Amino acid sequence: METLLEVKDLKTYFYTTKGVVKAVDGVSFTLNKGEVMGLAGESGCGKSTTAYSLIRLVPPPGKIVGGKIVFEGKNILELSDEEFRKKYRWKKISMIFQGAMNALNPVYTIGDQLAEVFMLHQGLTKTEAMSKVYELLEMVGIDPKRARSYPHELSGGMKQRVMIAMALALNPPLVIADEPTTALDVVVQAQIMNLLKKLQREKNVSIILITHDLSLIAEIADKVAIMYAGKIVEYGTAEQIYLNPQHPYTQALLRSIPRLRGEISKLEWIPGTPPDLIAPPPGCRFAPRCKFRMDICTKEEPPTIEVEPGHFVSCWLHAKK
Amino acid sequence: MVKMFEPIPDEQTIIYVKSLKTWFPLRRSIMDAIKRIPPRYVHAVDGVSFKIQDGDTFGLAGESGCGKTTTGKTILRLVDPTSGVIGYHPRKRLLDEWAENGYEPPVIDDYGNIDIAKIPPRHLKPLRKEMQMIFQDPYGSLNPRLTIYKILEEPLVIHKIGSTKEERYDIVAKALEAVKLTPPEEFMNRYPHMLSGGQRQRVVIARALILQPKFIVADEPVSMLDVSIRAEILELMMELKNRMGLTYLFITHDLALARYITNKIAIMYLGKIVELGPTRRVLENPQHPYTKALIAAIPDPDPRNRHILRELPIKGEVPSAINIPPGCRFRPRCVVYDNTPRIQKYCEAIEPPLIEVEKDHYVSCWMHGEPEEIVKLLKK
Repeated sequence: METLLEVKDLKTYFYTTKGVVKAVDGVSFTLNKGEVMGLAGESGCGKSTTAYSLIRLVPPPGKIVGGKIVFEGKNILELSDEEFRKKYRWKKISMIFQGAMNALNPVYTIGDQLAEVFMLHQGLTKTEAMSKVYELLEMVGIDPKRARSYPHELSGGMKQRVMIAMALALNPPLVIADEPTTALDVVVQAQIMNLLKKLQREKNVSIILITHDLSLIAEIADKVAIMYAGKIVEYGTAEQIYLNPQHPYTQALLRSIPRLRGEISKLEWIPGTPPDLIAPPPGCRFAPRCKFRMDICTKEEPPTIEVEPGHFVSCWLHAKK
Repeated sequence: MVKMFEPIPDEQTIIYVKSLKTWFPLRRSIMDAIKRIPPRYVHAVDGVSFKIQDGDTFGLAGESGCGKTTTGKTILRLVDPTSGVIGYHPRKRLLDEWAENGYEPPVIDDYGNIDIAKIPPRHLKPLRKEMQMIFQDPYGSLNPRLTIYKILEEPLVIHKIGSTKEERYDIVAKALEAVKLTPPEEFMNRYPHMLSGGQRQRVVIARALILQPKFIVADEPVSMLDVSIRAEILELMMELKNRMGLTYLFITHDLALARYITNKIAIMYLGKIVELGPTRRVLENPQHPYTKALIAAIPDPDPRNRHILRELPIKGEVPSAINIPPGCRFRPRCVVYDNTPRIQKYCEAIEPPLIEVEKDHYVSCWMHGEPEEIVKLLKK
């Protein structure tokens, strides 16, 4: 399979008055063409910052300070802002933003907002753009007549469909979906996930799905990366992560999800809170909350071990020293 | 023999509501009045009946906007009901306090239950010591300008519990210990922003329990927290329930979560209960088309799901609670209605009552029971 995206040792830090917040601190993964990756973790683990780094929209005082993002063979961190904006953002990499309900401009009709994408990036006239808008709306299951509606006239699910239409407008090879269904009800969430799945197959687009909800990732992702305190602690195929999790954090996360079927076992939780990313603990960042903690865990950072082909874990339990 | 649901109280009943309605009026313009357009209402709660027994964790589930939170708030009289009965079994200390103030509450049945819906606003204050609410958002429900100590002391001051400062300090310290924020001295002088989400929710729980109520409305108490710490808060709630002899009305949109902690559940749709019964029976053997659709929509962490599209036996979107469809309010979205011509005339014309389909399991759908027989019963 053809590699689409390769992220190597990505570091994104926020320079706040209180100190440097190492939100993303050495993240690496690869994504093939047409593949879907889920990026999961608790709030504040750096998953959204990773997403914003990929599309080079890290809000100040954040800065990408290290690493490489190789997209279609080119390190996009070396491009000028102007070049990235013209050639990559939205054309090659687009994003479905978190809280899409509020990401639409309330004073323009959704047709106008969608048309803008074509007018700016492809230089189409308004009439040409509108015919494309109708196609787009049909594709995401909205009556093209609704192009004249304002965002407040649409339901949450429909607004989310508009956001998806906008992200797919220019047929980008990579779409980043940052919590695309939070604040939606389960039925609408399932409809949106069905739509994403369908479009992903039709267009063979790669998706990076960012969410705290491991159940949602299982709905669509081929690969899963589990992030904790700025680092990826486990990475592998969906089967490897869900059926054979190796990192204590992944195992605990999976056991904390209430399930609708099967035996009701006691729900587990992870005691404590994630570390302060200004001064993360030495050694393994998960060590203070880990029940398998050993001496070495609090002293040295664990290496990343390939426990089976394509399945990587950063944990001292798997390292032979 | 069809059996319709009736909330009939017995010795074990803590709270029961009967045909509870909470409507919010829409603002009318002068033109509306001139044109004689009748006043319109949001039918947030539109005829809800259920019964909660001592020690229950009663789940109230549904999508956003179905009226589950309004139901909870109405029971506490944080909003006033439009009509209906809210029967509550008062403790002696509540009756004593009312007697001191020269108020005699309206007793409505043989078990000494009183109707909360009929209590005049100026006598509601003592009721707060009986029933409290745990709010959803631990970030929004604590005053950012007060310390944790002040937040917890406030209800004591308002209700004149603890005559001296030292006494109140002890009560606050004990409350913090009860929710495992230890050592309490360390938390008392902090402000809410200095705590994590989980710690804040513990403060919200401590505040709800500091007056030693017996009935708690918990409105999505963990939905704003990370999945990894939800179970910890839930276990704390269950431990406190056993220790203090509490009864919970647990409002949630998460059926999988409800399966773990509630023993009974009511599924709400557009202001009405569509299915009601013991949690396991309802979730393992759902009978209402809406409950079935809700369950089908819940994702589970199984990587095989990615190869298939989820089948959702439901169409359209939730209509507005202003213009409720006539007949069965779920009909416009119902696939069973489309496929079952035999019952269509009933679905279109008459609101289906809650009918027993197995022991204690009630469903409001014309698919169950003989429609003619039910219509006769309704007329009685």
